[in-house]
Amino acid sequence: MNVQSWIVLAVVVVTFVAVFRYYWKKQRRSGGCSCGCCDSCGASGSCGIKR
Amino acid sequence: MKLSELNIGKSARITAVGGDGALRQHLLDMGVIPGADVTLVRHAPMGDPIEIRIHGYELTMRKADASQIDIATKGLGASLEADPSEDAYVTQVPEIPHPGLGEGGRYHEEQTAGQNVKPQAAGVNEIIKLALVGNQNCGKTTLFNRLTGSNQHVGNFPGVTVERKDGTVKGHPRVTITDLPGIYSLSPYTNEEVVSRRFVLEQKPQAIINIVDTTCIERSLYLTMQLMELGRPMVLALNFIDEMEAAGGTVRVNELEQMLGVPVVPICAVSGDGVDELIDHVLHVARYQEGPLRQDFCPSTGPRSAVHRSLHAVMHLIEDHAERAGIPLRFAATKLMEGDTLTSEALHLSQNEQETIEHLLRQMEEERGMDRQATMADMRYAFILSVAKRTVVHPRESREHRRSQRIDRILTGRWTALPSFIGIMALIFWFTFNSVGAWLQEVFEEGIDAFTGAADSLLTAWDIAPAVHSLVTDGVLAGVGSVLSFLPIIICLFFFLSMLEDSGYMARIAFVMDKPLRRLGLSGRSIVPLLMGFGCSVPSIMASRTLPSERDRKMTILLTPFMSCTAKIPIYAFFVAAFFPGNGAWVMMSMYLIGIVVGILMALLLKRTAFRGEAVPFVMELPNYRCPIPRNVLHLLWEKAKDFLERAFTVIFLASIVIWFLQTFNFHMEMVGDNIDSMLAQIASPIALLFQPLGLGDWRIITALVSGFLAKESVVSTLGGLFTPESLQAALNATTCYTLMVFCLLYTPCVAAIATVRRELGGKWAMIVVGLQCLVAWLVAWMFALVL
Repeated sequence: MNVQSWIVLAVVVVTFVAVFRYYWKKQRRSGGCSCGCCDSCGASGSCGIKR
Repeated sequence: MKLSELNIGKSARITAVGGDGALRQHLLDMGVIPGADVTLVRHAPMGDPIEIRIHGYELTMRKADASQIDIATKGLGASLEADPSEDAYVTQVPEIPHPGLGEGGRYHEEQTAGQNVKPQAAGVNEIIKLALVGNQNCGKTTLFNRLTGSNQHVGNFPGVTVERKDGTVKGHPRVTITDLPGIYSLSPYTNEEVVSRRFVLEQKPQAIINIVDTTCIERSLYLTMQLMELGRPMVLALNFIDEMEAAGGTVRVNELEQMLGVPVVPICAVSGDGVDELIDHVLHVARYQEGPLRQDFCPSTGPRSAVHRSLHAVMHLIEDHAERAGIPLRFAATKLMEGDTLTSEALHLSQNEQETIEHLLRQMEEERGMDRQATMADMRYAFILSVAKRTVVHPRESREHRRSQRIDRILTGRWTALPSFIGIMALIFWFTFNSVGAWLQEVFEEGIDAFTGAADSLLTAWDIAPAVHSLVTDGVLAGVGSVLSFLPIIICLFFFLSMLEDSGYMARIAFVMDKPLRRLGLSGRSIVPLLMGFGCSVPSIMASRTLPSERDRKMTILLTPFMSCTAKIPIYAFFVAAFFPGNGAWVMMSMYLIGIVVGILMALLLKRTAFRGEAVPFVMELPNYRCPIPRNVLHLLWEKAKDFLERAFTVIFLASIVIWFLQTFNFHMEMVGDNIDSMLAQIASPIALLFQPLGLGDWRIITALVSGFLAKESVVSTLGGLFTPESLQAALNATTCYTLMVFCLLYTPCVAAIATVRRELGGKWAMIVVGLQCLVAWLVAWMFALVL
């Protein structure tokens, strides 16, 4: 693989890890609400109903 | 004569309220009490339920419940108006200067200067907890948003807020405020009322903001009196005063403040008028812990003195118990007299004390000629009417009300209601899938295709290795891009759903649909979660909290996932483009129809098996139609768009890469030429056997269905990654494609919806939902496979 390929691969991998960490943390701090739309206070803003 | 026998447009006076239990208490709390005047406005299109006008607002109830209410021609029965001999009890207040309750200057500073008895204010650094309490649909969340600067969803439907919400007051970082679900009294009738009552009693906020709808102030003050009995510092916020004044009415604020003994602040939550003054007052009473100056509403003279004597006797008797239980004495006594079991359990009274109280109550009932619950409601409403007589200038019929009545003649009219409902829903779907939404989607799709093409060319120009090239184009861009293009359609559908709710039409749908839904074992109120299910199952499952019975809630939650949510739109659109070009709208509509029909059949089945019995009574307030506030609608759309984008760039992005990896490599980590040799094929093939009877035995389809468990949109991104247009045509035909669409429509909801079911009903029910949906989906799809 050439250098450009490694760079593109690195970008994808780093993005993947970052998104995964973000999603995982969000699920944990939302206290069980796993609709994927919760902010840091455990509230699901997008569905309009906050805890 | 019974209320159910009253003719449309005729008025009468209630003489007795029959029935028993929580419903009767709820009716009494809503002002349906002996002596109140009532007018029959209309019947629902199928003759049931009925809409009545009482205390200046519209209430719906079923004929069966109305037949428990005795009425007499107006003028024959005793009026609820306070006895003239009791007038002295409610202080006559001529034009007076502003009493200045809840304000500094008049009390604290002067006392400090004169006698050095300055009351102890809470420390400046102490965190102050406020509670926002009021009836349903009186503007609590609008005020909450105004106070905190947040953007909670508001709607013109009773019961939009189903959970408490906390926020920090703008400009006061150490002041938190909790928006509670709307309640009509502190007698717990629905789950949300329990939430509000428990918060006020157990969390002991430093002060309460009681927001009331001024246009029906009599009913709103019923809750106010119960809050005042708690003795907590509170401020009364008169919302919609602008609407009332525009119709020629007003409230004499100074007099009302003097009579109630709590600060009264007129506000307009929408425009923000008076909100600063409100927060100043509430912070003041919270810091100085200034409780209501009045808690006693029972007159010691006149016919209602029987209540006074009994109530005070009960208060003396339970004083020590109330103190031990930490329940405000007056509140504990009134609730005990109303037969509130939660209070009586908390007080731990001895047998002797219980018997003494029973004797006192029987004496009171004998003297008043009505039972204890009705007597207590009568005492409160008599006080309210006395206060209102002196402080409220009732307006002529407001513009909003006139407009609502005119619109309702069509939208809830006998012959026009159902055609209007079907027409409005058809228009919504047409605009979404065949007109505006579809056009916007095409534009969006072209943009995404151009971006993907550009990225592809760039990667080719950079001479990127085939595996990495494939990862970016076939994995990330194909996966995320295939889902992103459906954003406009989803936003369109949510726009129309929010218009239905904000305008007040949703409440009318519940009114119109109550009778047909009752045949399915549901109440008219269930229509709201079910309709919201066309948007997203998560909020619709939570909205089922407004249903007062556990049976109705469970049944509604089980049926909600059958309504096709917006996340399934990409799946339909994907297949329609491939197999049904030119018939897109019809195929889409058929999916929605199949969902509804299967939901109805399931409801009938559940009604005859697991959920025998009748749906709960339908008692609901009908709000006036209001023009949706553009800011609220735009905010909701932004939230939905944000949520969708976040899902696309998180769940779909992750799933796309995982699926790409599994379909590109085999178990020896070698890149495969044909993805039949991939890890994914090896894993999915055994499961595919289950789907062979449906004609869907291809492992790639199974993989897509499994990924749909994470998020429904993922089915499309997975299919996009696994199939080329040619291979898709080879694997499926129009018949098997339709069968697959039916399966996708009905099988397990996404993990978010399952988690919500788990939170609402527990793990067992979440498993039941998953199992039931998969089973039903397989059976229905199998039937389609046989028939088509």
